[in-house]
Amino acid sequence: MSQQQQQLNLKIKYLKLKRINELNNNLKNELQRDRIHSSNACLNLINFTSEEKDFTLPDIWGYAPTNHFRVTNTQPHHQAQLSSDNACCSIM
Amino acid sequence: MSIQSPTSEFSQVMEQQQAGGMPDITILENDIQQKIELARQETKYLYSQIDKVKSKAHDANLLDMAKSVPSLKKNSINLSTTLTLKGHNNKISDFRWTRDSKSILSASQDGFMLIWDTTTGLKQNAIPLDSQWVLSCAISPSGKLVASAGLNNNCTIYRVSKENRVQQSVVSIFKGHTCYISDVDFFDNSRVITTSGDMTCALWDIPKAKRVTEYANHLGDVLAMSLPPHNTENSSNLFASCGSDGYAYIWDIRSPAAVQNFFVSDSDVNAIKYFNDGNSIVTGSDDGIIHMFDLRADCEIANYMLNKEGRQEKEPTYSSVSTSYSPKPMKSPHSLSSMYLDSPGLLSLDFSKSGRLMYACYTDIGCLIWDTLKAEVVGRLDGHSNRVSGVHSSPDGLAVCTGSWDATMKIWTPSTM
Repeated sequence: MSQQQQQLNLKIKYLKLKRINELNNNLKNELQRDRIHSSNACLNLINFTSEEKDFTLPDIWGYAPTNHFRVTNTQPHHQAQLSSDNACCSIM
Repeated sequence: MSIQSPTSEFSQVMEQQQAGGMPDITILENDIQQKIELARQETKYLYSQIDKVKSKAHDANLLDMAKSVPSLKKNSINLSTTLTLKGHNNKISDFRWTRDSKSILSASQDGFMLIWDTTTGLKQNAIPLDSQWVLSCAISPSGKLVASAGLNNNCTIYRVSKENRVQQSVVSIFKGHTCYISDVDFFDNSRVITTSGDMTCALWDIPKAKRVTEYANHLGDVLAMSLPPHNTENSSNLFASCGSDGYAYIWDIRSPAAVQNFFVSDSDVNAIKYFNDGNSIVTGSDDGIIHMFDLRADCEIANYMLNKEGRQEKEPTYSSVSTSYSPKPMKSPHSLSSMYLDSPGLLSLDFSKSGRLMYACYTDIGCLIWDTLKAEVVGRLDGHSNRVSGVHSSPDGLAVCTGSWDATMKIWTPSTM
């Protein structure tokens, strides 16, 4: 093997070593990551779902007092009317 | 950068060797080989330690923990369509709610972005696009800027004009990705994040008109991204991405290296979404499985799977509803290969306000509604005549919108009857 070839091999090995050391450093960081137990994470999530009001679940949360999406169903081309008058149609 | 230092270290060693007069490369080589082997052993050890720590933290899953939570009542989902947004004449590629839930921005392959009033269903603005091949769109928190991106590899920022209703007022064109842009979103009013088929994500600054940071850990096309809900503690710096390499990455925008990663699946991961508390993410992949990962526990806490018939694996609580879950191949004007028709892959995911409901768009099944805690399908949003390509909850939580290849979008809200 020529001297040059040997030096090239050496260079490649240095790079390899460097790469592996980088990976090891990353893994060490990952090992040190602060982790909570998944059971607690789940409880947290369940808690969130039971505390946050959600009007797409009327069985649990009832209906929204005003729903700007629903009002327009009867009047698709007019401004939403949330007035108290209960007339089924209004003459403009 | 990483290559620089070992080489210089190497040349130093070589110089020392030569100064010593007898450069014995073989000895040097053996020495390095030994070091490599030691480092490899350390790697193995570290991996096993990480596995140990992870499995210790992974002591339960969501389904077990939610056993005491009562199931939702039968037929309790009564979402019905209040509006069908008609006006595009090609597939809806993407759409977004404004923060106030009063408008929706949509991008279609007809070459237009439209802004809709979600109360009346009327169009407020039309923005002709540079490129018809748009894959994603976004609207800034203030609602003053919108972005489009797609197959032309560019992300274009437009100003929304209140005076001129049909106008293309380009603010910036971000060029730099070398492949298609799969997803875009506004990080804040002056910065956007893009994900691309060139395997990178990028953060762009609109006033500076340039790319600020590139995020390059993915080993395949980056297919989607998600920002944490804007009122959570994670929202100031983090975002999540997923790709065809089967991984989901969590990034801190200040660092080009990912801060956390999750292996999801051997198939493409097409959809990713932060849970509403900002502490978990869900991913949807081509194999039809939804995985939920908790970021603090650093592990998977739940998964949601349909069986081959498009039904649940377990005995469904909702027998009357579940009969309608059989996959219904969409009658498509476009010819789809049979492989496509069998695909259970996921396209889009979102949560209701509390996160109890999870909306999931499947390639050929349509948009199903999961009970997040019980992993049961509790309903579906049925009504489009072609593939449902996206689903997004309104920020105020009162409604949900679906977009489809049938060129329309539908807004769903609970019926009062």
